[in-house]
Amino acid sequence: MTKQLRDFPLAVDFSEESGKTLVLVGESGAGKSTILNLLAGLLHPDRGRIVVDGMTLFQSDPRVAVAAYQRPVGYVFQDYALFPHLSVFENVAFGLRSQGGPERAIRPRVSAALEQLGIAQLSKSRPTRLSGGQQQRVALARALVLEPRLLLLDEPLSALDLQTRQQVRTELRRILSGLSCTTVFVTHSAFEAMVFGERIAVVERGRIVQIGRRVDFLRHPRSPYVAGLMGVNLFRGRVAAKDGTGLTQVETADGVLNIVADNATEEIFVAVNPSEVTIHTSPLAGSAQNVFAGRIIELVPEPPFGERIRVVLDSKPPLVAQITAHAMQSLGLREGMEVYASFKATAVNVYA
Amino acid sequence: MGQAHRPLPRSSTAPSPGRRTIAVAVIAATAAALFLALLVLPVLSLLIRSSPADLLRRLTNPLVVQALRLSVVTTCISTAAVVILGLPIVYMLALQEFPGKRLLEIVIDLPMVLPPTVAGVGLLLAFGRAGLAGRVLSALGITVPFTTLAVVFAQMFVAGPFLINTARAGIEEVDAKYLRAAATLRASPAYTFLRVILPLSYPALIAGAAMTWARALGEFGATITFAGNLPGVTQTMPLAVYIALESNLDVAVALSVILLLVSFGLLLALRSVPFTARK
Repeated sequence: MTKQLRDFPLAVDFSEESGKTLVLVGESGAGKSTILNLLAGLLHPDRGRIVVDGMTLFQSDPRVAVAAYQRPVGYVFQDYALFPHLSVFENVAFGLRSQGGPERAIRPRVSAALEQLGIAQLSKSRPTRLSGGQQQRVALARALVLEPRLLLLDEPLSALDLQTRQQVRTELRRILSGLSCTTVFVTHSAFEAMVFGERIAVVERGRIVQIGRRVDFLRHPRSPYVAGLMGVNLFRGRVAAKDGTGLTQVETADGVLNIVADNATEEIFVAVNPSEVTIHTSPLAGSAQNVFAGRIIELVPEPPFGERIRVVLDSKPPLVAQITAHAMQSLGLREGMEVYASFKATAVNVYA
Repeated sequence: MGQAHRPLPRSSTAPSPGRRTIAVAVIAATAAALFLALLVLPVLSLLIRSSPADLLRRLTNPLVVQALRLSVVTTCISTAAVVILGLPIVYMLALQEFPGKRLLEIVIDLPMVLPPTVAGVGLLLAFGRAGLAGRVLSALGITVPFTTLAVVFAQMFVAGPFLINTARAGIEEVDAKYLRAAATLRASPAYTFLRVILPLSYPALIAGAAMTWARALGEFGATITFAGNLPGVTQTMPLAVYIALESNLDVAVALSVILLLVSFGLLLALRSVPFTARK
């Protein structure tokens, strides 16, 4: 389907097997949530086709456009959108009530859904009194009780603080793996993509730049952006200048890198191991030739023990660093913080 | 150890208010006082004119009772009618886009700025025997001008826009995310309106209805032009006050005080109930 968005056109074409989970991963503004809204019927594509389990939900020619409320789709919103004027029970019952149907059929189904998600005891509470994790479970129950054929989740973990996120992530994974419906999960975190997705699609400026299984992404990232997303720093550039000391300047799309390379040809790939990237809270004067300013997008404790932390930055060029948990704490690093990343000109691998 | 004592610098604290600042303050205060006097004195004069005992006696005057009953009945009917007939329009304005929407908004606002007597003339022309709608109604045996129905029409005309605009603002305040959530939960637009929008915006609706009722209660110009001044039939309280002034000032005052107290009570109620929708 295609849709003209404010900054760029969205054009995607993908499919997923029934019952499986597809993760859409990419930066904010890439169009991931728009794709969900198109699937849900909250927006209609300019052109295209949407088919779920054999049911055509949208077609441009001949025109078919099923309204959102008639689609067998469940949606868990990023901020949950729980109705503030209804109790948890009534929130979960909403979708069943809106279709009519006898009370005696509704009550048990709602109770079962609440039980399944471990929130039966919150039945009479108001959403505003619940924690983020609890709200998320209510939002899930509300969508799942309708037995949708397609479940959409929009950044379900991003509204939670780091600690809660860890717990909820494991729980959510367990719940999702037990579902029989097809799931599309949107996130900006490559780590979450790896955890949740049987298949992953990378969305960049309205297009899917790569789609495939987890494993394929790590081994064969198809673009520097995808590589960066997966935690490898890979840059493609042109040799711009080379001085007598062997220092080479490489021009990439996002900035200039200074490297030392003997075998540099015109067009090269530069790979920097995240463990060679250092993080600083103030600009530094030192021997490092490459210093880039950026904001921390994500801090990911790496399994198995979380002693190493992956730091994802939106610097130009984007960088991923690997630091110790100790360092993260002593520098007081937080997501959203402006920092400086640097690596030495010698700490690179160069490919033709 | 030699410590140089430097004298403190000459006072550089804030300068005392200049003469100009004082003059401005005095002028502002005087202006405020004059304006407030204009607002407060008439109200005060009404209240101190007669004792409560006198007022209560006047209330048994048949003219007063008739006017009171007529006002209450007509304003309740017109407010209810505006709410029922107006909600679809409120829905359209708040939630939909369509060609001519701007024009519709102007048409709805018009009765609020039109001089009431002008409104009355318009109503007369529309619903009089020769009028666009009046012709049809006549054929059915229904006359409108100079009947109680005319009073209701006049009130609906001038007060309706208040409900529509206030209710619309209240509905627009409801976060769109709830509407989207409802759609993904199999709720048709009608169900969403009844079960999500209304519960989250009803304070604004109530406020709108209250203002409509208050405006209807005070309606004079359109009523007297379109409905005439027949005691018991079309002589609402504002009209009765007008007539009473010519013969019996005390009755006029009694009616005025009632209207004043009702208005005051209404405003007090409106101000103490917070009427923004919950988010």
